[in-house]
Amino acid sequence: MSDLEGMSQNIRESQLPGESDGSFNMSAESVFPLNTSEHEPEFSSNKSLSGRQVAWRRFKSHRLAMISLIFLVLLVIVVSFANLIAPYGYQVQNLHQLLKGPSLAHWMGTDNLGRDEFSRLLYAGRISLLVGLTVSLSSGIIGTLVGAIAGYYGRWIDNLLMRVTDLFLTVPLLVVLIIGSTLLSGGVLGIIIILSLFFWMYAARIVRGVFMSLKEQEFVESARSIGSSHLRIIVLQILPNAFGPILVCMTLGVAQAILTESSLSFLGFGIQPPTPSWGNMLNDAQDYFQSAPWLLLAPGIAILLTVLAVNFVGDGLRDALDPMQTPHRLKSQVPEAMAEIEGGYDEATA
Amino acid sequence: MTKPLLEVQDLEVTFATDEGFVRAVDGVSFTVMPEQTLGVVGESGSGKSVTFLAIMGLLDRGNVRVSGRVLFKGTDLLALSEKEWRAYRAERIGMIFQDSLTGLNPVQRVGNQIAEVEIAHRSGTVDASRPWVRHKKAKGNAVELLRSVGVADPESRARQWPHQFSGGMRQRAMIAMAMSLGPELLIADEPTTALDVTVQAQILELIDDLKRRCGSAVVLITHDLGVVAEHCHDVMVMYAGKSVESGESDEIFARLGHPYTRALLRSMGRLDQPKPRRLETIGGQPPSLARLPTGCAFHPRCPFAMPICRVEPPPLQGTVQGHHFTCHVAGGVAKESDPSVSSVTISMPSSSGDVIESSAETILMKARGLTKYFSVRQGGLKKSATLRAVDGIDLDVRRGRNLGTRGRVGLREIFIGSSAHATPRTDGRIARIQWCGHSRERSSGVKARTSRDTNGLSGSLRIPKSSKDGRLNYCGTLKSSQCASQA
Amino acid sequence: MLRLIGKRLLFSIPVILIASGVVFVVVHRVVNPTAYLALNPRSSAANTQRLTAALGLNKPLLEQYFVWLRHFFVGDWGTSLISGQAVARSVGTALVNSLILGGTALVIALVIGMAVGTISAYRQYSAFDNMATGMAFLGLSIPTAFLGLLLQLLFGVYLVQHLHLNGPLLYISGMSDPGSTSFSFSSLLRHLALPAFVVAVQILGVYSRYTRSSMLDVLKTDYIRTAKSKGLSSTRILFRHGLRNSMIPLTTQVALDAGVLVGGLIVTEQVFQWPGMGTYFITAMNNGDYPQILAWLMVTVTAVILFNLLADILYAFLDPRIRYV
Repeated sequence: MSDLEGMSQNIRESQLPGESDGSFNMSAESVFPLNTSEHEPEFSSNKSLSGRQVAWRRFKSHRLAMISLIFLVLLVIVVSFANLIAPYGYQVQNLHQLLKGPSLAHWMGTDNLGRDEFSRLLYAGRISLLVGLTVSLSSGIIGTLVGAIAGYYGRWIDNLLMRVTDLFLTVPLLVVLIIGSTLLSGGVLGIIIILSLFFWMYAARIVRGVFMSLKEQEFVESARSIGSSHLRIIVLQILPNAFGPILVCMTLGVAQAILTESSLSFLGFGIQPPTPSWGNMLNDAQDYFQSAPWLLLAPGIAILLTVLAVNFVGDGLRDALDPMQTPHRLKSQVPEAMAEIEGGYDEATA
Repeated sequence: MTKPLLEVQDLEVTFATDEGFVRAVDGVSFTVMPEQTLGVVGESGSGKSVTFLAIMGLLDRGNVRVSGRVLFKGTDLLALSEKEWRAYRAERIGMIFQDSLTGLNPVQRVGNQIAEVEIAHRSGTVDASRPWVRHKKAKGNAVELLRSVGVADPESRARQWPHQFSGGMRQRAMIAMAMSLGPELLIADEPTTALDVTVQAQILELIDDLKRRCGSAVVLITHDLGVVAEHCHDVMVMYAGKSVESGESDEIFARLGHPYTRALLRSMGRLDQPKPRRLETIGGQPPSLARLPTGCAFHPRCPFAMPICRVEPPPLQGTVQGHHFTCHVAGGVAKESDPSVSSVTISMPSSSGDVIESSAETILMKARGLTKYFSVRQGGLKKSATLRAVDGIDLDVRRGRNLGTRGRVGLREIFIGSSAHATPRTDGRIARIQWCGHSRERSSGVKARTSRDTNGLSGSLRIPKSSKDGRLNYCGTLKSSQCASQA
Repeated sequence: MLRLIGKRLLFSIPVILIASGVVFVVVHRVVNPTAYLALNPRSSAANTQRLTAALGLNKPLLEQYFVWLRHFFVGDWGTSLISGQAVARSVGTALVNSLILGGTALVIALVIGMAVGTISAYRQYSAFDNMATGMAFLGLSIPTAFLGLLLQLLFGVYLVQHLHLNGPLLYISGMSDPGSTSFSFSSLLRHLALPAFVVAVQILGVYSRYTRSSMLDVLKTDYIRTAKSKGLSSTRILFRHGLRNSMIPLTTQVALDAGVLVGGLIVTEQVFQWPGMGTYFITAMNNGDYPQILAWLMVTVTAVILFNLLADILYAFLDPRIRYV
């Protein structure tokens, strides 16, 4: 999908409509909850669930997200132990078995060099997942830094940083990645670096939104009035509120990164052979898609399922952290359940 | 005896939330008589707004369950289909809301929004003229409506957008929208809470005036007993989703009744009385509707609580005809002995921060010549204007006394220490400052870079000369949800 | 308002200039125009030197830049190192082709996406909504290359085989039949269908989700509640108030996307061999074709900047809060 570099994927699910000119001003509160539990008025009979517990409960109720999470965990385990699970090495060529279809010996067939597709898939999975995770993490950190500074200090710093962010956002992604990878000569590390350089903007915008909406609130003013340094306020007071949105953003970023890497490698500019990645496996499959369609299906479906799973998890996270939505479970049960409580409610409070 | 305009019987509203099912409104019953004003008083979370949202059918049907009967001139509104209900809205019952800025469509001109009501309701009527003729007429009527609610230069105002109006003007526009078809009942949900005190009075006057002219009844939802005293014939006090006291307002303020009402009355400052040693507040916080106390919902905060209050829900007591309240204390509790209602009126402050109290005691903090100017950017190429929020005032804060200030924002910034211009001189050890900031009205065309106050922030703060001032102590931050308007 | 446009337009010029500088420096570092010569075993070092001199590559960078810039603004974009064709013309053709592809896909995605998103928001959590959400996720998650290749497989191989067709129903490669000289609209459509579909499928998901969430937010606002309290019909509320407000961010986003689109469809074009900006770029990069790459980047960057401007203007036009501060 990252073919449409910088295109609507810019939006990301985690953003909400806001003003999309330079002075981006999204009120994160309307999207994500604030961790203001220490500032809420206390209710007489307390023991309300902590934010995290509520969030976990809601996440669990999102079935697709749970399934996806399990799938991903299994995937990570399998891929990490690729060298134990894979029947062959990813470079082992069997020249007698070129372009053979799936069989007992080769679960997903062989490619034009006689290499076992299944094993390649597993090893490639390592690379693709590694890239996805690291890119998301590092770009998340960069983005948080930028967003926090911009959102907190405001004015010209904010203006400048936002202009830079916008600049990075509007360059066509694949183009700069291609150019960048030519500069850095695509080792895995190089790809990670170049990708991270162009993924931080989303986190930056979100974090900036959180900071802008929170920095005027009373608890910040109280902290300032007792002499907390700016750093303390940023890190201890405001930043924790941004964890939710950042987490969602980073999760979705993993999906994006995997897709982008696969596109890049497909074009021949990403991870270079012989290192396998799902992207360059797609490239290899291109020439033989008529005669050996399994070569296409294996990496393609792998990417699809992984990205889909990550997206579902991200969506589940977002639902779990947003206080203004009714959980799906409750909603569907409402009419019947409502009828039940007539008369039964009073006993509960006695 | 005249027939009631609106009769609500046993209204219940239940929400599905994360923490289970919450009954926001628990068996509320009341009536509204024609051409009378009913005041509905309660804290946040008492269910007062939800009650009327349910009556108007504005609650999201998906996760809300409403039961009971709402009889508007005999017809049960809750039994209506959505289509039938629409015929009632705006034509027979109008509603205005608290926040006029978010309550108006930001991308639609104000005049069109007002005209829309007429267009939508009268399109299928006898007037068979072409649509654009009708639209033109409706827009003309909208302008006249704006004029009648006191908006100056209504022709050009009608073509403007909501953000170009000031807060008070927007609220007037909302009122115009609600009253445009001359409904028999107007529900005003905290119409003045978000407004400056000066404007509050004007809006309430306007509502009264319109009420007289159109012969409507009004429901005034508020948390301000002063407003109720001035403008309402009948009162209903709500707490934790139930109606705890109701009756004519004269009665409520004078006689015996529910402890909560008494506490509300006592927590208001009175200008006509000698100043008490401290302002009375109601201890504790309103209960979470998901976990209500057993027995009487108010008992944890009630100074008159008896053991039975924790066990059994309180019975309904009626003293004089029409004055009801639910309490175990037989005969109710005494209210303020002074029956004169008008002395509860709030005084209007003058333009910038006024200082309202002092006496001869040890001065903890002396401030002289406090100023806070804001540099306000005007759109386009105009130079910044200077907004003199606080212009050279002097303050004395004495040990153990409370200093209240009313007025526009500006003072608040000074005390947070973020001011660029003000340099309060400090002597002494502990400074305890309590004040109530009010949100500032936005005048059209000028954007100020001030922060928004919430009503009633109170805090104990240090006033550091530098951030490492060891002489002053930090006393922690308190937060009270309501600021009792006082001197 | 006009002042706003004028100001932004004026501001764009230095941006483009700066961008041109950056582009020039980057390309200079990245692309080695004499590389292909060096790869050719029959070419001598002298050839390389001659080419270098001919291209003016031994002059100082700044001088090269100004020389190029001067030519560029006059319209002389040089000739391709490989084919000798005028770059301006070839880039222009590629641009038009990409616009055809991208524009079609954008329109389809927008119309369907908005419709689906609005209905999904209105009937939140209904079966339709869930299905639409599922499809949107699928569209977002599928790798472009995979989808493209699959479709090629389907239409180019399987359908032809199993239905015993003469030629594929929908073409899987190129923009027109090789060998045909006349322009045939139906032929264009049959060539356009698959690549446009691939592009549309991915943005559609995003647009529908975006509309949905935008709409959901709008439907929760106070002014919608006010509108309901005015007794307006649901249709009126949905369209006049709901859609009108929720479309604002979407429209500006579309304008931004259109800008990126210009240089953006690289993978799709590669898979389907569509002669647009994407394939142009890849070929040029692989060949080290200096003038082509420079011109290409300038066009892309300018398009992005101009569409950004359009987005800002559109936003100011649609939202009166921006127009009248």
